Amino acid sequence: MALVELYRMIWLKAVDERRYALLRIAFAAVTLIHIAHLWPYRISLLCSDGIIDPLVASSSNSGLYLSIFAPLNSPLAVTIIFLTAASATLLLAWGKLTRLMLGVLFLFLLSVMQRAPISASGWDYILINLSFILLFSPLGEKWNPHNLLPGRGKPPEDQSVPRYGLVLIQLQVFVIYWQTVMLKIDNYYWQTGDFMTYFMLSHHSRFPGTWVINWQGMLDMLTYLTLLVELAIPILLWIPKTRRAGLLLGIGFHLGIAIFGVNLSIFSLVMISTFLAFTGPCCRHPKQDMKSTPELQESCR
Amino acid sequence: MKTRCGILIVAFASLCAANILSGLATLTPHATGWLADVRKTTGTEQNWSMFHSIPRVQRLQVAVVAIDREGNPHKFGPGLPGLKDIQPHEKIRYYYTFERLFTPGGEAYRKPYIKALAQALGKKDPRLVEFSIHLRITTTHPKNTPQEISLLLDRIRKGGKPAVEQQGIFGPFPVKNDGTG
Repeated sequence: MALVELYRMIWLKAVDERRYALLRIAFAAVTLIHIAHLWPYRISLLCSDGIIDPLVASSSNSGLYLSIFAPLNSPLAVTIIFLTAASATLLLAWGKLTRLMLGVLFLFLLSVMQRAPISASGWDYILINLSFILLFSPLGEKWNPHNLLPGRGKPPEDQSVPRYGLVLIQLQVFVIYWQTVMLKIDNYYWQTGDFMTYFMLSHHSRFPGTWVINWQGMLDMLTYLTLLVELAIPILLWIPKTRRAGLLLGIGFHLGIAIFGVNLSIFSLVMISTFLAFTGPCCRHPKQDMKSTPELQESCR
Repeated sequence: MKTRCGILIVAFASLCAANILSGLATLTPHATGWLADVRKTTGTEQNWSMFHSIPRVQRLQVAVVAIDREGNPHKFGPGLPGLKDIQPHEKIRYYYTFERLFTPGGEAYRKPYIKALAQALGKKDPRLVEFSIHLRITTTHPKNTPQEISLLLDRIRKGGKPAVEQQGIFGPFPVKNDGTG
């Protein structure tokens, strides 16, 4: 019985649906940026006469190959799919046909990854994991960027929804940071603190050059600090009392990555958007649980 | 109805949580069998190895050099379709693509790419007979051995260059002029 209660508390505890709405809007925004980033690559990476052979891409995928770019592989078809996906982000952000639009975006993201696996970057996987979780989560569709702003538009009636989607994204954030730390502490250059020096010499650095030699002590400290920060961010975000510090640290960390790294801005934006799973509108904290809240029962039907 | 809905939510959330948390079992980060298939199908793999090894490339440039019947070289870009010029440093996905195409493990993708290049060159200019792919990589440690890496910072301290240029040539390959590949 206690286990049932524990499960119910973990997954079904009621939360303000605006938390989902904020997350949905942020996801739509970063996905739109991602689509804009992919736009110049679409013909060469996703069309049948591009760089990546479609047959090899489909056979290299051990699961089901669901890429929409298998049947629709001409430049015109690919362009139409991109425009459809971009429109889906706008409708999703505005709370229109949200489940369908999320389905469209999930299929789009999955299709890109399955069609061009050798061109994938880390944030592709993060976006697809987020879209998968959101696909089955409450989305707070009555809220849109207009009525979420205080004093703007007519706000819908407050409603509480189960928090399982937020908890899953929180777990995802934990695992993203912690798995990378676990892998890094096993690496010689992270152990010796040299990683950041080599990173700053590479093409990932915005300012590559021999200057790193004069700053090696500080870069060594930055290497260790990175590991500490990656370990700390999810914990600080998870504990309500330290959430603000977690947000500041997380946003600062990812801004640092975006400033000092090249081509890592979208990764930073995606990670910052996931922090919304830990936070929410501060004006209301519903205490009800699913059992005692008719709105929640309604939201399940 | 409401109980059934709650049970469904709990069951789904527990399965998702198990998949996500299995990502912390770094000793077996790559699932095999049906779990790998489900993860591949749904895109829910848990592989977050971001920058766990040191990057070694400062710049990557790719060009296709084709030779005509008279032996004259002609330079083209490696982008398909259209043999367009590509700057992998500016367009990060091209960097990933070409890095993975031309490193061990990328053979499956490389062979059809070379075949597609052969056809594209044949269409572009029927006088072309053969071509090769030239990779210019500016790298901090070309041999990628621990000894070399350990000497790298010393080399820079002593006034040496932080990176050296390596030229990799793949080919020559025949140009397909008949359009059949």
